[in-house]
Amino acid sequence: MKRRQLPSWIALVLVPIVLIAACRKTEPTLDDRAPQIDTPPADANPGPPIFTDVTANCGIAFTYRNGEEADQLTILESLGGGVALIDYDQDGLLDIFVTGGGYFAGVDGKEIRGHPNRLYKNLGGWKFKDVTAEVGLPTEGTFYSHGVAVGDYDNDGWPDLLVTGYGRLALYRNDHGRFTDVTESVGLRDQRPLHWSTGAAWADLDGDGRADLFICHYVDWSFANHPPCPGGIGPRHVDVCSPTRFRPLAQQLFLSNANGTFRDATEAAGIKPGKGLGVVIVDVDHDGRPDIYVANDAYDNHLYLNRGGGHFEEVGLSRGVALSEQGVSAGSMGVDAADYDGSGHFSLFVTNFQQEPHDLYQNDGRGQFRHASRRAGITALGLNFVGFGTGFIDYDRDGAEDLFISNGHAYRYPSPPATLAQKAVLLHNPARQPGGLSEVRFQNVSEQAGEYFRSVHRGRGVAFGDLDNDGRVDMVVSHCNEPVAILRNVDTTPNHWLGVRLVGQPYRDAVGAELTLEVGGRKLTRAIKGGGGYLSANDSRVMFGLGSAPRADRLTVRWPSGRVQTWDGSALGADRYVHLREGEPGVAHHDR
Amino acid sequence: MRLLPSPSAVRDRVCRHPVVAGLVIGVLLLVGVVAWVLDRNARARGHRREAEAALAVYEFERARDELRAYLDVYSDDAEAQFWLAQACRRARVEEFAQARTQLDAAARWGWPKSAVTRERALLAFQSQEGGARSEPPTRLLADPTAERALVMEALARGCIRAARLDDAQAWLDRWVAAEPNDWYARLWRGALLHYMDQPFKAVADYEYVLQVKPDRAEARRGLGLTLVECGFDYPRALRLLEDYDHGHPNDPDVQVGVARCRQVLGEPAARDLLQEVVATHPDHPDALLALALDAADRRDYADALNWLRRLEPWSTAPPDEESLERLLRLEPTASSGSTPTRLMTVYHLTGNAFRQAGRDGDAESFERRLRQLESDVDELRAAQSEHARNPGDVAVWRRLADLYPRVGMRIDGQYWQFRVQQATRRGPKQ
Repeated sequence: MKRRQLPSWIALVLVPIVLIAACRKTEPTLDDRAPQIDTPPADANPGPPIFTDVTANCGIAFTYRNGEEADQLTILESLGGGVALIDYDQDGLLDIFVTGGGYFAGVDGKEIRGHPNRLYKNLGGWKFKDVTAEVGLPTEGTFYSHGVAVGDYDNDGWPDLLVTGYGRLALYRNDHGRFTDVTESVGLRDQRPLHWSTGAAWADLDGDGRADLFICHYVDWSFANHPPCPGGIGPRHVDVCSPTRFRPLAQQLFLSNANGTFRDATEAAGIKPGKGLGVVIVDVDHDGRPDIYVANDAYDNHLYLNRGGGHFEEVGLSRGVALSEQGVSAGSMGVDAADYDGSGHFSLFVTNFQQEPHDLYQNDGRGQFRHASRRAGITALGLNFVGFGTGFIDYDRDGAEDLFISNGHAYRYPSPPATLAQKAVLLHNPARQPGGLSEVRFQNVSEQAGEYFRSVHRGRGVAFGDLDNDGRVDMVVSHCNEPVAILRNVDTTPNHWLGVRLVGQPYRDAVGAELTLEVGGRKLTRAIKGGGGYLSANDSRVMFGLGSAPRADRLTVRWPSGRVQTWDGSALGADRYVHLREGEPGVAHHDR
Repeated sequence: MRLLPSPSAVRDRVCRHPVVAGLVIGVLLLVGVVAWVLDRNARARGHRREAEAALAVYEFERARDELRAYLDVYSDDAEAQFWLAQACRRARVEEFAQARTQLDAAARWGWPKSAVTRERALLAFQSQEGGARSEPPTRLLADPTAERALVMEALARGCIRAARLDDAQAWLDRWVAAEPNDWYARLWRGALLHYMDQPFKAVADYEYVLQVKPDRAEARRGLGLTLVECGFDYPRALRLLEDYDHGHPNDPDVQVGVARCRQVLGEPAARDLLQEVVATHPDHPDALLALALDAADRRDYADALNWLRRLEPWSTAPPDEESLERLLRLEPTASSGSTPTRLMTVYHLTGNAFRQAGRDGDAESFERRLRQLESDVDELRAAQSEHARNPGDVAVWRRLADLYPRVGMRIDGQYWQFRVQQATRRGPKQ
């Protein structure tokens, strides 16, 4: 369309006006503005930390090494190691056992060897001493190690150590503080050509009063099955392979015999192959029998409901805990269970690979679960993390289970913006009001949690426990090729607490016991769990945060045997540990 | 005091001195005409300068408008005609017919023949006037007088138009490798990766664009949506998308992105926004999925099943032509994973909703469908690997033709069925 021209005299007058007008600066449009969207918030004073890293002066200088310096880029290097908190000498102080990993040797660099594991005795006052040699544990690496599980398999009152890894596992029997390798004699030597054990958990699974053993196995990788896998930014454009490139291995269930040995009951029990890493044993359907939940990497997670007599039914899909919310198998690593919502039922939590939300499966009380990650604020963390070690802990003793996750990438050369080392995450569970199912929304308090949380790590296994018996749960974190970190809980919230150690009869460890504490109108439900976390073993004592209540009203324990016992709050007291024995009404105090 | 003589006095003077008056009027008219011409030309030159500036920052729509205004005055400027042809071709809403007309004009007014021929080749490939199987004019990359970035852009856009997305990505990769600091190349690659369900990689390109060009709205939109897909940073994604939404309201993908962020961040306004989107776009798959999740979160499983039922047919719908057009406008649609993955999500959520609603029989039916789908996907992967090893094996084509529809990918199934039929008629290639 032809534009109408202005008369020239008007142009003579208007031109200067238009020019002057044109010289004025125009208001910027939305698109012209420099966006104000990515300014990081000003650094706020984070306040007193919740955890302080006390590693430097405590006498522990230990690093899990995965052998990556050989540049073999094996999937073996990606798993990392674990930590056990075990009072091996029964002096009332938790000691620390750490797995050492391994390396590649030989002319072609394809001989898989182990770095030594270490046991550190807790001397008190946050001082530790390496006692590996003096307690009879091997001081040289015997195999490429990953995980550790603690259980008193022979019911002698001395906790034993099971160490998992590539090629074999080892059971070290604890005899009054001296360890002996009994793997062969108890029947745990694996005769199969390929052994790659990872997470493990002890529990009396068939109700005979003796500890049985569930062992996760990973994938069928070996140097004979070691394909080059493309990787984004590596120098050779190859990287550690995804577990999807390999086949799952058979998991193992060992039931105990009366003579102290074990028999492989995997097939008879109905246990399926998997790519297992994490395992937790807890009674999710309140039938009095401990159930098994296995976190498989890039494979359906398995929930084995205990049908009694050493028989299990895998129901992960129908109960809603096999897959991510997207309906696909996630890369699951760590796992834990807790009554995080105050419902009295044990929900399940699984840490996953990047771009997959960690899965929080909320137990509706009928043994049916629903995805709760988004509602609970877990998804809001973002999907940039590769989560490994995890656990529900009530770090501020307010009675609500908080959540810790250690992170670090499984690949050597993750594509940006993903990073090899990542920050750990601490989520606070706001204490709920009494009554009804609570829609908990966790708050990310990592930035306030302490210096450790503000720096990046290649986090793997983590174990939780009260290392100084002050009622505040501390933690020990294992990393890949980075020193282990001892994190002391220094939270100053003036809340009360009660620590409980159960001793079952005849099954002393009492895994599967359910504890319900009534305090200030609330009911706190906890369990003695088998396994949990990632390749690690936690303090076997149960910690209750009482909040501002000076003491609990009542504690009810349902023992694995089915016996139910109740203790009055006045007998239990507060701000101390109590030892409760099955069938005995008394309370043995263990004041700090 | 009077500054001007009265009209009657003027009339008297004109009547008294008609020749002088005529001269004065003539001079005034002449001055007016000269001023008008000078002004028009000055403005035209201004349009040209503006066009040059716009072309330098890849704002082709603005460049096109400025060049048209300039050519109203200087229609014989061959260079401007050529630029206008390029701007029409490279604009977000391409005007291929107009580009051809302008190229003819440029040639008519004497623009170098070699440049016109080259531009015609780019135009022909980008517009796919020779059909979807036309060969890209790669010879131009060897032409030392050709601007390589311009060529690779046209090749990539042509491949997108022909739905040859892997080829398009290869050209964009080459473009980025050749011009690593060219934010425009990164913007195109980001958009393509976003469309191709590779948000993880797209984020890096969009981030780069926003670093050097923080005012590019397409990059803000793309980064916001891909951040949601990747789940990298929901608060930042929300800020980016809300900011975009203020300037470009009613983009359903952006609204769904905003709602998804709010869902994750626990903000209650998400449901209202999603319902608004579904009111205007009743088949928006991501909106339907987000509403189903919202209903499940509220334990309203009947409502969740209602949304999932509406979603299921759209889970297997192939991308429509409009989605490619939107990609070519640098506004790729929000991705929601591959077809089998979308189906798995629907089956899984439906099974879960039935379980929660106490309808175990229905739940089992969906769990079986999910298991069958997983098994089919595994089989398809195996067949794809086999095809990579033996691309001419018709038996593998048959398996692909059978398996693709089973995982919801009907179009791919039809393609392999067609190839099988062709091979059967001709006899298999070995």
